[in-house]
Amino acid sequence: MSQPTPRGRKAPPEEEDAAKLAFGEDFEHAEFLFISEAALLLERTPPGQAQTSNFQKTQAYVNTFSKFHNQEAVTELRKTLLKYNIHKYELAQLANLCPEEVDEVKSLIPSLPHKLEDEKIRQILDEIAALKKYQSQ
Amino acid sequence: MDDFLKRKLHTDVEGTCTGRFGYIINVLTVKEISKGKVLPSIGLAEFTVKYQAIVFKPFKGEVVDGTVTSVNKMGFFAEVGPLQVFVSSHLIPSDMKFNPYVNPPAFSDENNTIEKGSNCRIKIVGTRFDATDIFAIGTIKEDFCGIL
Amino acid sequence: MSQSEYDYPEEGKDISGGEETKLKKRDYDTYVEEEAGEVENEEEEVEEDEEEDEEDEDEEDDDEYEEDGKKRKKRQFIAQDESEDAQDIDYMQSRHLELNRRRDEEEDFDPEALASELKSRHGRKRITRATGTDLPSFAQIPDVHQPNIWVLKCKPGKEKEIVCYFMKKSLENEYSQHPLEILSVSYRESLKGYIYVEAWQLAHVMRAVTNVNNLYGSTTKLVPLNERGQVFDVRKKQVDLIVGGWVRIKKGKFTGDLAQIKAVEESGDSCRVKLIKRPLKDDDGKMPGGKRKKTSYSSSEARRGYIERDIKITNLEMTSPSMDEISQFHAADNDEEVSKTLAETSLPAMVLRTDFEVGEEVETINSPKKSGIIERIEKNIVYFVGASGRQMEEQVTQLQKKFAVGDHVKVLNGKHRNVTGMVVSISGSIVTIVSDSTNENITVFSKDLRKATEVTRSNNAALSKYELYDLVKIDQVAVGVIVHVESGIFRILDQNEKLISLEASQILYKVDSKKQPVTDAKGNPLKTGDFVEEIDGDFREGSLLHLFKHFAFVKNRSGVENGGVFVTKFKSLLNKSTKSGTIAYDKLNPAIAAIMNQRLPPPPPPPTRNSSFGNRGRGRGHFGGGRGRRDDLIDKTVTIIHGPYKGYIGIVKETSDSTARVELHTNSKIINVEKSKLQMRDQNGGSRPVSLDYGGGSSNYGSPAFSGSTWRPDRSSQWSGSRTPAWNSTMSPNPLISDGSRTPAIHLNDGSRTPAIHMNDGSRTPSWDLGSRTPAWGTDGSETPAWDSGSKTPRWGDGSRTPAYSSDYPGSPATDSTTSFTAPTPAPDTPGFIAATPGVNTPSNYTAPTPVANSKARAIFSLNCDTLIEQKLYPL
Repeated sequence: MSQPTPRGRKAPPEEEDAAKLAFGEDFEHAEFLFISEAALLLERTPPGQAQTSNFQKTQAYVNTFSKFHNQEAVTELRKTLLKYNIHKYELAQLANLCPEEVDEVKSLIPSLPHKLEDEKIRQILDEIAALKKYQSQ
Repeated sequence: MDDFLKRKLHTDVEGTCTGRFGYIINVLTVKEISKGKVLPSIGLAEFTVKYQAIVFKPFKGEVVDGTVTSVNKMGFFAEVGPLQVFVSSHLIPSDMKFNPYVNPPAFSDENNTIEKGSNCRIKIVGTRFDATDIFAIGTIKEDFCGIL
Repeated sequence: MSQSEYDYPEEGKDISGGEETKLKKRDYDTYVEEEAGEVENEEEEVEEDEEEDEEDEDEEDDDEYEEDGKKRKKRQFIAQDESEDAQDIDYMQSRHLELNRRRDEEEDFDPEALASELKSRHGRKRITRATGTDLPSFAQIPDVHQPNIWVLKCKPGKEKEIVCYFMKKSLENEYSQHPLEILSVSYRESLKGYIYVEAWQLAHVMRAVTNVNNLYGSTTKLVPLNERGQVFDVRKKQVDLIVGGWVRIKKGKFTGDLAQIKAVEESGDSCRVKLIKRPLKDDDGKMPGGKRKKTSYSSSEARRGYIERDIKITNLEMTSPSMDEISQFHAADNDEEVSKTLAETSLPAMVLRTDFEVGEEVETINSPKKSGIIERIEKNIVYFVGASGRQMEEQVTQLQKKFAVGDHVKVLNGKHRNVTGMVVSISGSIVTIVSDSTNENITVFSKDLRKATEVTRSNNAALSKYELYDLVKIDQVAVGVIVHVESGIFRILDQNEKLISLEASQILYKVDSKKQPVTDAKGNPLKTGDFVEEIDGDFREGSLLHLFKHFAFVKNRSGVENGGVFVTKFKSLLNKSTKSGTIAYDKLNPAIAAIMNQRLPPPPPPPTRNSSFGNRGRGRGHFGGGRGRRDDLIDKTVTIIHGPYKGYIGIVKETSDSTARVELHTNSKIINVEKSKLQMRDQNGGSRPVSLDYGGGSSNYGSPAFSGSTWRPDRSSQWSGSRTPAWNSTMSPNPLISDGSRTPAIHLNDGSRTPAIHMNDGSRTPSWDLGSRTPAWGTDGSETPAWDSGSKTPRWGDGSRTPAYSSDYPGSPATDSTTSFTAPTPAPDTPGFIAATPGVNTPSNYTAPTPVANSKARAIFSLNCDTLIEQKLYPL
């Protein structure tokens, strides 16, 4: 939990760029949630609390795009992905976008191919696909 | 007292949007509430509250899925949760043409149609942070972006 | 003038020195730009060294003037008269011969003098050469070993005549007993009434200038050494006009017009430019500041075509037009050609160095592409550092600003000046952006853009009272929302969904739509800022901008038409932000809820009202910083009663919660003073202390006791708590109050029932709700004690309104009773305000449990947003 630095004294903010995995210091220690995780969390929000329009929009959004619908699948997915030494953003993107081809990964998450060989990526994709299939049964 | 502060926190920060953290969707847990400090000469008390929240902040270069909300000749708007993303016609593949005569208006080529309600994979190329909102520009010209 | 001196050997060497001085001075000014030229000249110089110094000078002068111009300019220096040219040449030739002859003679009997002459001449030349390239410019500054320059006053306008006179005199006296001992005489066109004389001694000057008409010898003054350089500082005109470049015309019929250079005359002093034909009826082309008149012609008029004119370069000014100006220019072409010409418009011709700024990212136009961040700009060379830290330099014309798709930028010039937007497409130097405010596409040159962090809502917000999305009154019946602002013209969408364009002066005033509590189709409260959707028609949605009567102005984020704003009836809207009342007070503070239930059981506060009440609180902000809640203290005359400025009188310019910025009468200085140290000065010259309050207009109401005159929604709990039964009962005779007593919120918000409201309404002072209450007390003096006994008086601060009432509405019958009312409440002023808070609460036990709420503690949450970590997730 880093103490927020006073905005004013910050050096000119460096460009935040997901392609370079630059997310700014505020998010350095933040966890990147899967859409599916967010969906599960939002579901648990006490009804009285969940009233802002942003909340509602987000809820609608995560429900639309969530790929994994039950707790076990999501937990399993994160466990699986954590085996690989990849950035938490890349991890979340893999889980959110569920790419099917290696080239797709390279295009959507350009930082990833630098770290992993194609076979490794393929392996991850297969595992994700398997989980997806499994949970839908 | 704590209860009040928590409520106050929920009402004050949930649903807001800052340039720093993006949209604060939902406060999950309140971790720490400091001792109150009465501000001199005002009579208000100040509390520092540390909390954990689900936030949503779009980053340049991020690929997101979104739902198209409106289409016009200059491009289309999509919503990614609370975030509004504009995909300019310059950033739509040139073989997708705007067709104003269908209802709803759409961008389309032989196979795909982008119209209101479509789900679309978008790469964010730029973000703008207002005081209370974030606005993003996206592209679907990239490989594997576009209609889902 | 100097020519004559060549005949005198002992002076001759001095002359060469003198000439050098001047030349160097000029070099100093221009050498950077003309490095290339100078190298050439130096070569020539070497060749001609043994020849005439005069030639030398010519060559040097050449630096700056084209063949033709040079001669003239040089003559100007000497005699300012072109007609003498032929004569001059004759003189020169004879003088050259003479000089040569004399030199030969001298060689025999004065070798030492010759040696020193050579030394001075050539020695210095070497320096000149060196400075031309890499010696720092200070080396070119004249030193004490060179002749002095004196400045003399003369009759303005006679400068040229005097210089000519000296020329003649020197020639006449050349071989006489008393030749002129001065070295040169000159004047500057730009400096009327002065001439400069170069000489070794003051005595020489004095001898030379005696008995010269129109010259005031007594005014002779030495030009200090450090200023000497500036005397001959020739500010060269920017003459590097490129064919195809853009210029603005500074003089004549076409003043301010944009023109394109078609050809530059050989002489270099004029060029042929292409202009758009002006409409015949030209309402005089004069614009202050040479600004181009925007409305001078429409494109249809421009269709009349082009004209070409020869215009002197001095009447032209390099410019870098914006995209719309150029397209307007090209609009005179046939339409289909426009796009072509636009693309062909070569950027190099348009970029000026002023377009670039240190810190900006640039790239070269031609491949290989080099890009970097500008470090400094010198003359027309831009130095920039690449990503790898590589230093690079490039001509301005070879560079363009670099942007990437998605960048947030601001337009610097042209029609769209100050618009911000995001880049969506880049093709060469032409960039398309999506405007932040209107979502429109705008195409501009990259040179007219700059990366921006802020978002501009309107083009010139600073200049105008109105901003984008303001609700304004157009005429007696119509209101509208500003949907677009462009160079002082507001496009306004009125309640009938008609679009009109008005200037600021045509708008009556800004309307505050905030105080109309309304409900949507389902009876939910609506307030501005709510997210709403239509229940029929197009099912448009957006955030509620304004409410006016039964109309609602809604802004759709993705709308393009009218800036996304549309008009509808608010009854056909559905509030989708269910959490509209930011906070329900009963929820917030259980004690209050309890008391509310207990006190006001039938009917329980309707949620709608309640929440709208809360909204209002939010809308106004915690500390009365909200719009329209201007501190009444502002613009009031105050006396400072404590501190170093004690006794000073000033006018309050700005205020914050506890301090005020006061402009002192004495020296117009603005100082910060705590409000507690201020005293109001009223019309009678009396003074009253200023209360420390949340921007409340306590000053209006006179007594420190009556601080919180503004209705503060945050106080709601207080308010409700303070309604002791006593109060209620006393009030009950008044139907208005008894009505309000059920839900104070309603009563307060819904002030519209009393006519007084409307009076106050227009002025939009926070006192609007005063009137509604005042009669209640005012009519019946007996309430005062009850009121007083309620113990909340100081806190509540409502008493303040009473005197306000009396002063605002002196004719009212309430006046008398009010004064009596004020008396019994001597309470408390500013410090007491806070102190009183707990006291207020104590009697009412229900408020006690939540001191925070009741002391109106705005809990300031300094948020440390720590996003989710894993452990938290998995116990799910």
